[in-house]
Amino acid sequence: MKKNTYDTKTLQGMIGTLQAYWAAQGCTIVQPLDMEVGAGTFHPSTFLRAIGPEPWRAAYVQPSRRPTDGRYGENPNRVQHYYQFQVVLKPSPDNIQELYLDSLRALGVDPLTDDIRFVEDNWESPTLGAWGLGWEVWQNGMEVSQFTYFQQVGALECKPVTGELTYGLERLATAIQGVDSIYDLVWSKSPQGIVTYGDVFHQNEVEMSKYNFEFANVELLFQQFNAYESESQRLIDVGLPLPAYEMALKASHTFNLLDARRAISVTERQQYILKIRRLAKAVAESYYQAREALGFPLCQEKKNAR
Amino acid sequence: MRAKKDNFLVEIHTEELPPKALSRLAKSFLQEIKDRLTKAQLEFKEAEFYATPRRLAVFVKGLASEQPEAIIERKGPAIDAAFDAAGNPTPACIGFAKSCGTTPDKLARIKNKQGEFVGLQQTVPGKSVCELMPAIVSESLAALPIPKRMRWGSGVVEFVRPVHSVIMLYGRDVIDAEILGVRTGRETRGHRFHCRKTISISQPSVYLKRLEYPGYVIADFERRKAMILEQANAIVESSFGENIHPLITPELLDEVTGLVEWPVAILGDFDQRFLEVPSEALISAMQDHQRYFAVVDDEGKLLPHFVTISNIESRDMQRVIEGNERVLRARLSDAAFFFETDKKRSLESRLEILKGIVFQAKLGSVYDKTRRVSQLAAYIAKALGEDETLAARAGMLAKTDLTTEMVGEFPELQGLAGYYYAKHDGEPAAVATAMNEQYMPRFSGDQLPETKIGCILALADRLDTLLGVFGINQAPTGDKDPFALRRAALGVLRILIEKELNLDLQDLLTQGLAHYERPLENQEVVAQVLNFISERLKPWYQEQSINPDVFAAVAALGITRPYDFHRRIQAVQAFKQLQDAESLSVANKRVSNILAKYDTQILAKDIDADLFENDAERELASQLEVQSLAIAPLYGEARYMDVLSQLSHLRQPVDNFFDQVMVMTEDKNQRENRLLMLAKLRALFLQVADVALLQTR
Repeated sequence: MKKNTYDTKTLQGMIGTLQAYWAAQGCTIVQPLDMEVGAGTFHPSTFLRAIGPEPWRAAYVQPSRRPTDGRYGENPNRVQHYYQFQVVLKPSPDNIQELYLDSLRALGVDPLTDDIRFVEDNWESPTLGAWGLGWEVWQNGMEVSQFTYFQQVGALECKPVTGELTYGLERLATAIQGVDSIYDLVWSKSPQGIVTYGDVFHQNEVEMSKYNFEFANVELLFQQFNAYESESQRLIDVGLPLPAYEMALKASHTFNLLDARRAISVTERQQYILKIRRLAKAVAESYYQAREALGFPLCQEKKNAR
Repeated sequence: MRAKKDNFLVEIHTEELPPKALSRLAKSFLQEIKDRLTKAQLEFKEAEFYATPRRLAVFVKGLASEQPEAIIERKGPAIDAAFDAAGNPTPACIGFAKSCGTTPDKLARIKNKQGEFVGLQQTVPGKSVCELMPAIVSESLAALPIPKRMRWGSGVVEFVRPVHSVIMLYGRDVIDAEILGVRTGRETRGHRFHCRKTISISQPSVYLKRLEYPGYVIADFERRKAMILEQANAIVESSFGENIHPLITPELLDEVTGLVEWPVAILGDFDQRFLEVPSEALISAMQDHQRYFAVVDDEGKLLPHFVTISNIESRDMQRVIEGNERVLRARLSDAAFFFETDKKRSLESRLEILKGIVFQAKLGSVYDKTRRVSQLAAYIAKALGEDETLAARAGMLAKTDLTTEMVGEFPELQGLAGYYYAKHDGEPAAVATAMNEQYMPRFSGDQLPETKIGCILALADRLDTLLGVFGINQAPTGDKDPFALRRAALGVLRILIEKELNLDLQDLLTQGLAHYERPLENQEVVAQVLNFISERLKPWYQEQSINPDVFAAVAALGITRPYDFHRRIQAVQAFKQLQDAESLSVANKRVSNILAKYDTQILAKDIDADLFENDAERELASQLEVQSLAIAPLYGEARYMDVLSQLSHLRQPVDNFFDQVMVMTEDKNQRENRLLMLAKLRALFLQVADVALLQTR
């Protein structure tokens, strides 16, 4: 591999390093999904590609939103908008842990200096009808990544199994840069000086926290949720799993906003989760059928494979 | 021929296994293998397990190379059919000999009950270790208690985590097999970072040593655990003196042992100012979230330090310490922030929020539950002569801490958070203490509430839940008990009995039911809950070595006050040790049978002394009178042991009566008079228990 030319002591340098590293491992570097999602798992490159027999390797940054985690920019470790770097390898290769550790080495982490640990953490997403087994990865006691072997997605068995690696970029950066607050992270170093995470995002955290907790229009959100839900169902019925999935994602984020506004009681909450789960399940099935109808194109031998 | 013996080793090398389950998995792997060796009659000297985050292994010392020879007897045709008149073998006999691979002249004669036959004793050699072990290991792995198995890659094999290699050695030889989709061999891996090359194991006996050097792995779970304990103690004592200790629970020690292959203890600090946060929250952040050992002094006071066990000998230990301190700082800042934020709002003001939280769809909100619990608590307080207002207040505030940020982040602090916030709000001390005590006992064998209000709240909360869940017909079935009702029932019994609260469950449940605003679906709810709670008594007493017959003797009375029940149990248990007990129990049985068989109504009301025929009869009547007067005050004070020892004086009169008096005489008046005496005798005992149910020799 070519010598790393990125400055891994900056957030943007980390992203460049990870993209170059995983591209060299045969991952297709795709771009973030242009919709509000809670995690990189919701990106079609993970959720949908994990379904069915087709092999797949991809990596990407995914901006992620969790409205209830907003802290008005006052908490040094919690934000309602953050970045995940997501890698999916399907089927999961035998050396997947070594590949991950080498990516940390590429970021300048020395596992004989820093104490790196794989600590049991089993993942389940009630809204996606998905679960897997794996670990959270610790660097000197800090959780910097999640590592999951998908067993089921959209209630379908994963065969083959997708290995999912999710780096919490802010977490990892605070560990690498040795700072206490996300807002003090160096995003870039430029001739004009250092740009910090706070420079880029602090105002956003303050305003979005206000929106999420105080100003989001509850009535409108309920209307939107219902519209997205029925729209998603309608699209499933006409055999368009991809647009149906987008509608389900919109419904999911709308639900998260309603949750942040505390507009949904505990029992209702379960009902809403089940509604989204039902959509995710239907999308998964529909997507599988669509790929099957196409003859699972990625299973065909590539003419130009090297 | 004696089989030769050698050592056996199996190692499953995997990705990181769940640390909490590790020792259980390894121990059951060992047990499953031992059981199967025994079943296969493969002798061995001893066996032990090794376990690290990345391996499960079993070492068997002195394992026989094969099963013992088995001698089997094959029976052929009967002698008559085997030889003709001339004594020559018949075709049947020749055929049988052939099937045994021999000739008729080599056959023996077998005699048994059915007659005499030709036959052959054959010695079958035992199977070898190499033939048997692959199946023994595979079956043992399949039997491990793994809650969720997983697949990986494109394979179909399932295990706890992906498997990378399997060692299976007998002496110096590899036992060739495919285990969990992997070909067996003699190679394994050492420490993930300290030893990056494969390690070859020449024979089982060198496994531990080779893994330690060059492997940087302490494979022996118990030894690694001891090292962690020693290192943690040493690092704290060398820094702070011998009055300061790491706080190490057995569960956490096991878990930490399951997280490292090469333990290196390090010591970190946190800011003094965090000590203002309830220490339980700090300990929870350290233990449950970070797997650190907290540090305390001799009095148990928390100090601003922690011990964590690293998995490497770091090139820069200071960096590892600082990293861990940074994580803890973030967690403790959260806890401190929550504590300060929560205190800005009183518990009382949080009642409003409870209205929006559903306890159970059919049972209303948590607020509804709170209101019921408060009313029931007040009722119980009144029954016990305690302060009703305090109990009602405790009931109202009991669940308010569920809405705090602190409990949101540290759910295990429910109750305790309520205690701190109630104190901060200036609630009475008894109310604050009850906030925490309501959840006691939290687990089997846990301590009980110490205060009366705490006991009252703990009872009211559990009884209300039992009533509600039974009321909507969701009683536990099999292993499904989502509301932990079995534990709740046992908690109720333990509090009533051990705290000596003589309350009537029937009454409490009836009261509790009255507090439901809408009627519950299940009409039989009080009887069912009462029965459910009572069912817990039997196993509970069994654990305390109370004989089942003693239990049955008391249970027969249908007592609904558990503490009263308990005192009777103690009395009957003591009574059973008395010299006269056996004879009295037999007499009670006899009386019970006589009375049960007599189906004519007895018209006489009182015992008539004029009908007595002899002294035995007279004596029993007078003793019944004497004892009945003697026990009345004792019974009134529930001194059941004294009642029974008083009644034991009846033994001689009763024995004499049965020796000398015929109960079922022709004379109706005399007969009824005698039956009346017996009924009176029986009634006296039945005030305490049905001693007729006691086992007699």
